Amino acid sequence: MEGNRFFIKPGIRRSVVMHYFIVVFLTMLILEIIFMLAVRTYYYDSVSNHLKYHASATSSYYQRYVSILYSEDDRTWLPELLKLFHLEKAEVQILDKSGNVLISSSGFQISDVIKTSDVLTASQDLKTTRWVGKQIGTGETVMSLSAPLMGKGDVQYILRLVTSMETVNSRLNNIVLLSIVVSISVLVLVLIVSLGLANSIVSPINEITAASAQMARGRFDIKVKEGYKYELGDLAKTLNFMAQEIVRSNELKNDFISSISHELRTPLTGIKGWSETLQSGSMTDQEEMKLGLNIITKETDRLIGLVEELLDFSKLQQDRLQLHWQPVKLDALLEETLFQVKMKADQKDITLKLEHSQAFPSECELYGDTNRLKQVFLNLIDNAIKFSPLHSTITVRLEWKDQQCEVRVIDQGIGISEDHLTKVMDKFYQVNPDRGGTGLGLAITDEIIKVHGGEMTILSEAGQGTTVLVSLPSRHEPPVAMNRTSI
Amino acid sequence: MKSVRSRRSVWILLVVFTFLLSGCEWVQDPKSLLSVPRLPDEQASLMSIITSHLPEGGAIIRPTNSSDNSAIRIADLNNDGQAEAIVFYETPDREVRIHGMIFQSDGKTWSKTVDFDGEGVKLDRVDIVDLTNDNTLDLVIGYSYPESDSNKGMIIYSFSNQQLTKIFEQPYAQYVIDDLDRNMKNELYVVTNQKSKPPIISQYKFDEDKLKKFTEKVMDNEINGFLNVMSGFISKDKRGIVMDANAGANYSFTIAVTLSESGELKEVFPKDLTIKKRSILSSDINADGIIEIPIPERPEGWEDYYEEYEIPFFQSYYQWDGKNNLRLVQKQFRDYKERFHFTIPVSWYGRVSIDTKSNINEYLRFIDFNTNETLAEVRFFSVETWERYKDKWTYLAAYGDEVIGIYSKEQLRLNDGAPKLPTVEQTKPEEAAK
Repeated sequence: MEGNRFFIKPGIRRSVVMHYFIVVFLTMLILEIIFMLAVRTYYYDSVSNHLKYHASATSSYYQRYVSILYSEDDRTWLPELLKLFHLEKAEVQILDKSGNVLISSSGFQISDVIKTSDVLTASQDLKTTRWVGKQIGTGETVMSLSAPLMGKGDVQYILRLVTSMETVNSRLNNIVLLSIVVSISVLVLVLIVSLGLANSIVSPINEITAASAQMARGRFDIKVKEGYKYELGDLAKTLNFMAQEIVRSNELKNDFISSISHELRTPLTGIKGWSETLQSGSMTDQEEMKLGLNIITKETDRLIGLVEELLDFSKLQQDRLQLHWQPVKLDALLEETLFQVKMKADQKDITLKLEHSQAFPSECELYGDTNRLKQVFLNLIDNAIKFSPLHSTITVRLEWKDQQCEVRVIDQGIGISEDHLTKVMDKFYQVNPDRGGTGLGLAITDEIIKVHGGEMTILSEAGQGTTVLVSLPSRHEPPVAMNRTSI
Repeated sequence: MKSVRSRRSVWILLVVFTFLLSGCEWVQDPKSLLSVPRLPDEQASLMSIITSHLPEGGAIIRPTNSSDNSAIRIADLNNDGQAEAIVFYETPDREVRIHGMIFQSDGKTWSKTVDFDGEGVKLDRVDIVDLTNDNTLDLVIGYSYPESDSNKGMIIYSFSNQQLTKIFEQPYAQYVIDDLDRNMKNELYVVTNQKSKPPIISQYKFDEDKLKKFTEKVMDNEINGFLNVMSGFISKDKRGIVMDANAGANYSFTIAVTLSESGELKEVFPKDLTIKKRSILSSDINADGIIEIPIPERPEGWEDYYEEYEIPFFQSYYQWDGKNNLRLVQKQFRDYKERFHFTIPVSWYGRVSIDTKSNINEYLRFIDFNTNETLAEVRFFSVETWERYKDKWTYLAAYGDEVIGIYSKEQLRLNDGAPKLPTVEQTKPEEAAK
C-alpha cells in the first residue's frame, strides 16, 4: 500500500493537485530559465569585462606609446610585447591581421590560423569582441577576446586573450543544479500542501456523496453535515432540503391516496348499501325505489365529479387541457357563479355579495375559457362557503387596475395559519385530511389561472378570514397551439 | 499524517543543508574561476614532463632575436618521423646559466633524451635548419651577454642516435642562413666583429663532415657595427645579403653582397651611393619580394644651416639595378619617429618640397618649390581639436595624446593603406585600475 501513496486515483483531488503542480511547475520553469540566463550572463559578462578591461587598457597603451616600434618583419620584440600584455589566468596570443598566431604565452607554436569571430571582428571592424566556443585540439570551452592593436592608423597585431570557461561552466552547472533541487523541493512542498488542500475539498464532497448515496437508497433520515463553507455548505443544505421535500411529498401522496380512497369509498358505500337494499327489497315500493335510485345517482355524480377532477388535474399536469378561447365578460360570469352556489350558501345562511369598484368599466372583457374561469370562481367561492361559519358574509369584489382584472373573494371564515398558507396551493395538500376532498382543488384553480396569464394570491390569518386575490390580464394572448384548437 | 510531516521535515532539512553546503561558495567572483586553457593532450603531457625536469628555480626562456619566438620548438631533428621538442631554460643561480633539453616522442609519450649546457646568459637565437645537407635538421643556437657589443657565440649541433653532437662553434655579430648560390643547399654567413679591424663576413659550407670556411670578405674600415643583416632577393633573380651598417662618427650606409660566378663574396653597388646621416633599415617596402634600400633626401630649401634633427627628410627607396647602380622605386615621407608615412605620388617628383617654416612635431606643409603651391598639409592635433577638423582632414595616425591628420587635394597612399580610426575604447583610469 505504501507504494500507492503517491498514486492518486483520477478525481478532483488529482486534478487539484495536478493544477497546483502544473501552475507551480510552469512558474518554477520560467523562473529557472530566467535565473539561468541571468546568472550565465552575469558570469560571462564579468569574465569578458575582465578580459576587456585588460585588453583595452593595454591596447590603448600600445597604440599611444609602443606602436611606432612596430615592424612587420621583425618578430624579435614579440616576447617583450607578450610581457606587456601578460594576464593572469589567461593565454595571451599575438596574431597578425590574418589570424596567424605569432606568439603565444603557452610557449608552443600554433600553426592553425585562427578564424573565430572575435579575430575577424578585430581585424575588419577594429572592434573588441568576445567569442565563446570549443578550443581546437582540447575541446575545452573557452572564451576568447580579441582587440586590434592599432598603430599608424592600421591594425598591426591582434591581441587575443583566451581563458578557460570550464570552472565557470561547472560553477554555473552547480548553481543550476542547486536551483533545480530547490525548485523540486518547492514543488514537493507544494504537492504536499496541495494534497492537504485537495483533501479539504474532496473529503466534504466524499461525505456528501456518501450521504446522498444513502438517501438514494431511501434512507431519508440521514442528514448531510451542514457545517461546510461556501458552495459545499449550500450543496449540503440543498440536499437536506431535497430529502425533506421528498419525504414530505411522499407523505402528501400517502395522505392523498388515503383521502381519495376514503372519498371514493363513501359514495360507493352509499351506492352499494342502496343497491343491496333495493335488491333485497320488494322492488315495489315506489317511494323507496325513487329515494334509493336518487341517492345512487347523486353518489355516482359525486364519483364522476371526483374522477373528473382527477382527470382535469392530470391533464393540467401534462399540459393537455383544451381551452376554448373566447371573450369573456367577467361580471356576468361572476353573477352566474354566485347564482349557482346560492343554494349551498343559503343552507348555512351565508350572504353572498358582488361588488363592483367604481373604476370598473361596465363591460369588462377578458380573453379566456368561460367554463374554466367559472370553475375557478366556483371552486374559490365553494371553498369560502365550506370554511365560513353560519350567518357570515362572502364578498366578491371586482376591480379594474392597469389592464388587469382583479377579483377578490373575501370570507369571514376560519382562515389559514401561516404554516399552511404556503402549501395550500400544492397538489394533494389538505390542511385537514379528515375533512374529505382530493386536495387538488386549489392546485387546479391555480393552474387554470396561470394558463390565463394571471396569478392567484391568498391572504389570510388564522381566525381572521381569508381573501383570495385573482388577477387576470385583460389582453392575454393564448399560446399558438391552444389558439388553433379553439378555432 | 505523521509520516507526511516527517517527510516534509526531511525535505526542509535537505534544502537547508544544500544551501549551507553550497552557501559559502555561492557568490564568488567569476574572475577567480578562470584558468589558462588546457593544452592539447600531447602538448600538455610534454609540458608536464618539461616542468618535471626543470630544476628548482629554473624557468623556460625564449630566444630574443629569432623570428620564431616559441619557447618550445617541435621539429623532427633526427629525421625518424617522430617529433622532438627543444626547450631552453635558465638557472640564474648556477654557474651555467642557460641549458637546453631535447625530448623525444614515441608517438604517445615524451621522454627526455638530452640535457645540455649552453653558454652566455641570454639566449639570442635558435634556428632549426639543415646545414649539413643530410636532410636532417640541425640546431643552430646563438648565446649572448646582454649590453655587450662584442661578438656573441653560436654553436651548431646535430642530433642523431639520441646524441647531440657539436659540429661547429663560432663567434658572431650577426648571421644568416641562406642559399645564395641557389644550389638547394644552405650556407651559413657569419658577420664577425674584429678588434681594431673592420668586420668580416665569412661563408661556411658543409663539406666532408665539417662546416668549412669557403670564402670571406673584409668589410669597410669605417664600419662600427651592423644594425640589420638580412638575406633575400636583391634583384628579380639574385639573392644576396643586405647589411645596414653604422659607420664613422655619425653616419650609416648599406652594403649588399652576393656570390660572384666564382663563388666569391662581392659588393653589388658602391656603398657611397647609400650614405645617410640617419640610419633607416632596408626592407621590402613595396612587397614585390625584392629588398629596397632607403636613402634620405633633403627637401629643397632646407640647407645646411638647419640642424640635422630639424630637417624633414624624404625617403627614397632604391633597388639594385643588376649592374653597378641603384634604381628609384618609391618615394615616401616618413615621420622621423615612424609615427606615420605616406607615399609621394609620382606627379610630385621633381617639384615637391616642404615649407621651411614647418616643424616636424607640429605642422608640415608640402609645397611645389617652383610655385610655392601647397600640395598637402600634415598637422598634429589634440584629440579635442581633431573633433573639429575630422570632417575635412584625413586621419593619418594617432600616437600618444595626438592625432595626426593630413589634408591633400590629391589622393595619397597613407601608411600601408587606408588608415582606420582606432575604435579601441579609451579606458577610464578607474576601470583600468580594476
